[in-house]
Amino acid sequence: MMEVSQQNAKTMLAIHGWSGILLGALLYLVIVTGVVAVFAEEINDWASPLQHSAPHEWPVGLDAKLRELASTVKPEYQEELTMFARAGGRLRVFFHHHIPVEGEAFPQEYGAKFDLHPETLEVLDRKEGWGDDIDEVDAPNALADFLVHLHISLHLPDPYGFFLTGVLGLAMLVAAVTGFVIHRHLLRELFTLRKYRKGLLIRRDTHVIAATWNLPFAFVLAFTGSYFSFTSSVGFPALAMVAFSGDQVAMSETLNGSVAPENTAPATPADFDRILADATTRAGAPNFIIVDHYARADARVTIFTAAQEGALYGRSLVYDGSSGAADTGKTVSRHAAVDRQQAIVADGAAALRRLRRPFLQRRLVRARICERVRDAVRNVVVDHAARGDPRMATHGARSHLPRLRIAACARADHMGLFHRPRPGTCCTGAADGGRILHCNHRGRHRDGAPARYGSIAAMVVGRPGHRIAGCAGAAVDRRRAGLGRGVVGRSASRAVDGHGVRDRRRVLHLDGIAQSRRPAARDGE
Amino acid sequence: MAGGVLWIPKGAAQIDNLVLPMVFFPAIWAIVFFYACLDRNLLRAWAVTLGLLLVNAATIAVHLNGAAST
Repeated sequence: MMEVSQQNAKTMLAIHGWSGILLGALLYLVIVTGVVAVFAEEINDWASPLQHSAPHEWPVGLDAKLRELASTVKPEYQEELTMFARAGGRLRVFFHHHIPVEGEAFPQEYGAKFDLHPETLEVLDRKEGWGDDIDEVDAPNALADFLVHLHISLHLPDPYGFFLTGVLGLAMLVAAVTGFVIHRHLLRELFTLRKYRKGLLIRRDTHVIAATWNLPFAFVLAFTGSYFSFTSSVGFPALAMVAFSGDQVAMSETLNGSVAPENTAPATPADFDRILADATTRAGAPNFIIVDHYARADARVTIFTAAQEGALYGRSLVYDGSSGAADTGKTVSRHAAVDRQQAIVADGAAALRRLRRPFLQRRLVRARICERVRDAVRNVVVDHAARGDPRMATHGARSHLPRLRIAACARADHMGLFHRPRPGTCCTGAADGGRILHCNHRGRHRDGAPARYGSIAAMVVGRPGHRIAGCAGAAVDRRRAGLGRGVVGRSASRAVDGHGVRDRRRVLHLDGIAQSRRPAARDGE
Repeated sequence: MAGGVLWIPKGAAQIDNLVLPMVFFPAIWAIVFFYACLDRNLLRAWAVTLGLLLVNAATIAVHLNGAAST
């Protein structure tokens, strides 16, 4: 799938293994609870059902009930009102205000919480206090909340829980990326299960099959998981520190839109039933509602709806909380935002085209050069066959050269022959004027003589029993030339451009195309 | 990551410099991590990583000092 040097592949394999060994158990816990937490709503409905309930539907008569409840709570609790469905379809109504707390970045919610029956609107439960404290003793939703918190923070205190799950997400991201890189035959391994082999091989195949099929999902989950965890625990506070001198509320307002100017004059709330009906007609059933400044002239109702069929995400609608009118200004600004987005996308596409152009050109150059080397090698093999060396020619032609994949290479007419492979590698090369060289895996020559300088050659170096991944190089005979210059693998493509590149991951070094010409010049002398 | 707030263009919505570093934090981390692991020259890996860190920190420090003095 992806060409990497042997050394890099080893490093990636080590990273792949260690990321699993060190954090695998915790990661497993997070993943399992995450899978279950997808069904949190259903689990809550199952764990705490209500008789004769129609879950997750908004009842008619809610407006009158809200007015009644508002009259029973302290006036300051009407600063904000949130409503959403909970276990068994219970309707959670939370009148609250925000109190700054020492050591907390955001003001904390304090108020009165009601659980209403979704059909009769009967008050099933009422609690007053801090929002977090109320949630901690929320019996109907306890099971799913337990699973969700285990998933997102392992029940560790904030922000350490988020920090740990963020690290776990990064470990999974590393495992996914390294797995993708080190498994070179990913498509073949999708369907490889040698179930009649020994246990270790079967387990290896099972691991690879499971991981390969899930690779895209693993990558997305790891990326988004670490993003969510680190954003709340590290990213948001850090960015707020730089951009807003630590004021996270100001940053939140900047990201979510400016707050409307305040008008503390009392006002009769708009008909909530009518607002709900209008929102349902426009965008489907609401799943979360916020009312700012209930019973005030600047009241505002924000309704979030679930994504409708065929839509990627839900909508948010804003209403004037005192007149009940839809906030058309918001709609206009949304259209303007869409226009801006389209302009940005167009700009991005143009930029992408500009970026890709040189990349494609480099690919084209590389492909042409590789083609020349392949032709040169083929000619050499044919030449040897014509000169009565059929064994080597056949060997080269049948076993290695047809499978030669030259990842990158220098100009063919500047290539010499690299004939001192490291122990543990095998190689095949062809030399014009010399002989085809084949080395065994101990690094010793099996056949062939040193090539002449300036000869045309190509090299493939690989591990015994492995398919030769391919590297072709402008290598020269180190002993005779005393230069030790060569081009191996990917570095060669940079040599074509004439850049001075030193590849220390290999035995051979490259100092640019100029040096690789030296042997030819000496040969001429 | 936090230094990006100061040099990433704000974009049409004026919030790109806030959102992009947050959204791409895992990618930024992964790039630096893989670079540090795969570079065979340990000294260079240290130098590059430390250099990025220092440039980032210096940018933030200059910004915060400027904000404090005004």
